[in-house]
Amino acid sequence: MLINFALHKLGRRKSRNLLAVISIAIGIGSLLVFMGLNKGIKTATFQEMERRNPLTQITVRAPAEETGIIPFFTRTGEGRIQQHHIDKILSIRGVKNVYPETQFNNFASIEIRIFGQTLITDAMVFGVPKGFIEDDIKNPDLWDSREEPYPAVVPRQLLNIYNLTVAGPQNLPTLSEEALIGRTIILHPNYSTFFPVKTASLEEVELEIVGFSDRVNLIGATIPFEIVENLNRSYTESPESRILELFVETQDATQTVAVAEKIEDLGFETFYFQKNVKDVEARLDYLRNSLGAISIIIMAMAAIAIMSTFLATISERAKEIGLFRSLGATKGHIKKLILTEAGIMGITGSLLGIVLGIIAGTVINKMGIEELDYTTLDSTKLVLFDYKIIIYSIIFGILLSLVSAYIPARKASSTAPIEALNR
Amino acid sequence: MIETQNLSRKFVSGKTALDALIDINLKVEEGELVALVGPSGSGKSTLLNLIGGLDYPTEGSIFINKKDISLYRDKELSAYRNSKVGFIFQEFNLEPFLTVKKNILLPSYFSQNGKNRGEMEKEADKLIEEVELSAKKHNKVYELSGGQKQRTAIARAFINRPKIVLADEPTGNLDLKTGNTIIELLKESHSKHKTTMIIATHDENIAKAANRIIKIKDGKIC
Repeated sequence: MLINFALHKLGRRKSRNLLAVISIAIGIGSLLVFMGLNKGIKTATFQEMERRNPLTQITVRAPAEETGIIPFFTRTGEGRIQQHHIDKILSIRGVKNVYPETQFNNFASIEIRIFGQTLITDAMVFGVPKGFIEDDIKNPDLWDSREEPYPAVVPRQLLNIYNLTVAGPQNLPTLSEEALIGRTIILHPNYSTFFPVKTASLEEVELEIVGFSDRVNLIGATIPFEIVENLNRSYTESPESRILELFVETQDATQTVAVAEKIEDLGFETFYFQKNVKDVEARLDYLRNSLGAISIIIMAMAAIAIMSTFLATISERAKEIGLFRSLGATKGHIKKLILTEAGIMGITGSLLGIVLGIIAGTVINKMGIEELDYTTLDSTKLVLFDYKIIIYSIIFGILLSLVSAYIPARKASSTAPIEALNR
Repeated sequence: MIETQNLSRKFVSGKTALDALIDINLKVEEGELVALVGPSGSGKSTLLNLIGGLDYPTEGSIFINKKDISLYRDKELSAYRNSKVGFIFQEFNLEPFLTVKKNILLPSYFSQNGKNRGEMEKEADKLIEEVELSAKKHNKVYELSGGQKQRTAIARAFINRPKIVLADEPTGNLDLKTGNTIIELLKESHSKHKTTMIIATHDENIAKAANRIIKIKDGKIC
């Protein structure tokens, strides 16, 4: 009976109640989009992080205070990673493989011909063993090649940066991985476009792009470990190749933290996904809090709209409330009646809000596709909805309506019956 | 069954105070049909409101079957109004967009008499027949005439089988002929349901229909 009566009453003031329902819908729709956006960005961020730092990978470096901030300039053996360190780490339980990374000991530049233009830029050159890179290239056997052109893997992030920050804004063609694989690039050892040292000769070493990776060093090209050792012997005054860092692969993700702690006990610094997650989560929380604050403002406006609707309604219905009280309705009955009306509005507004939110999220995802096409972020899922977010939003919408109508309900129920009847 | 002792009601508004009732002492026996007669502003409605539990006295007591309802809290008064009292107002006070039947059933929605929906609907149908509104039971109240509305109000007053029915100027908004019909209906209902009935009126002719007349003037029993 209560629901029927509440529906009857809501139907009597359609336009006013519709406005309150719409305000709830907008509030819930916004909340849904913001929660979905937060979830989508978080998921995309962690997916990106995991791509670059798989759960079973630990990056190991000598402490910065011992090697100097830029290890490139370290000339002594102190604090550097050496073979016996690798042997120790291999003996740790849970370690599957250890891949050392080395680097070319001098400046270098990379030249590439593209769109009819020749581009040359300073770059570092790193070397890794085949086992580390084989999942990132179609034909891993190419990594065994000891003749020019030597195989090279380029950081995928560089391609994204070009497509997003150069190609898009300057209306240049975007580059795809497929278009660049097989392309020849020229390495000029001992040549720098920035620094004047060692610019007398322009040696050339041919490299061929064989793949892209999220795990290789961002500031240059990565080639076979042995090739870098050869380059150091051939082109530098420091023929000994130093190990820059190690990539440790664990047996499975559950052992990563324990292995990392043991490596840290050996005096090294470690970097791995699980360690970074908390830091990233803290930064993403800022995003969540900001979006949450905007939601709260929108909700507050919806709450005010509902409260003012009900205050106006109970003022007009004073006589009716007085009649009910004279017929034996308690204060509780009156409150229940008003709150039932509010609950119905809350449910209606929330369901409408869910629809609006899903439509808005779909539109945002479609619009986002164009912008995110150049990145590795999954461009179809900027706004992510799941059943939990939808249920929370509906519950929140109903609660918002009930809480907003509570004061008017209390006011309605506390008016003396005779006073209300005489209005 | 109804007894008031030193009953007074004062209305205060700012610096103005109005003595609506002054030291009322009366008794109404069970089953009596009493007419409360007095001019406009004499305190009839105030007395009915107090007996009906719609208002609290400033002083004095109201005993209903030896229980002082002036000491009741709000919830107890609500239960008293629902189960022990039936009201008939001058302005009908019906829900215009509900049907005749639903208006009659309204008090039952707030009651805890343990009866189920089906029983209450049968009760309502009986009362609708008594007040001769069977043909209109599914009509919305706003579609009815004044007399039909007051019949609906009368049926509503009896739905929870109250011991007391209070009618405040029940014919005040009706023409003479319709008013007489309503008074006859009230008499019939009083007789059939054996309730105690108090009718407040300024019309001496209507008062003649009662067993007893209590006159009130300027807030005092004459």
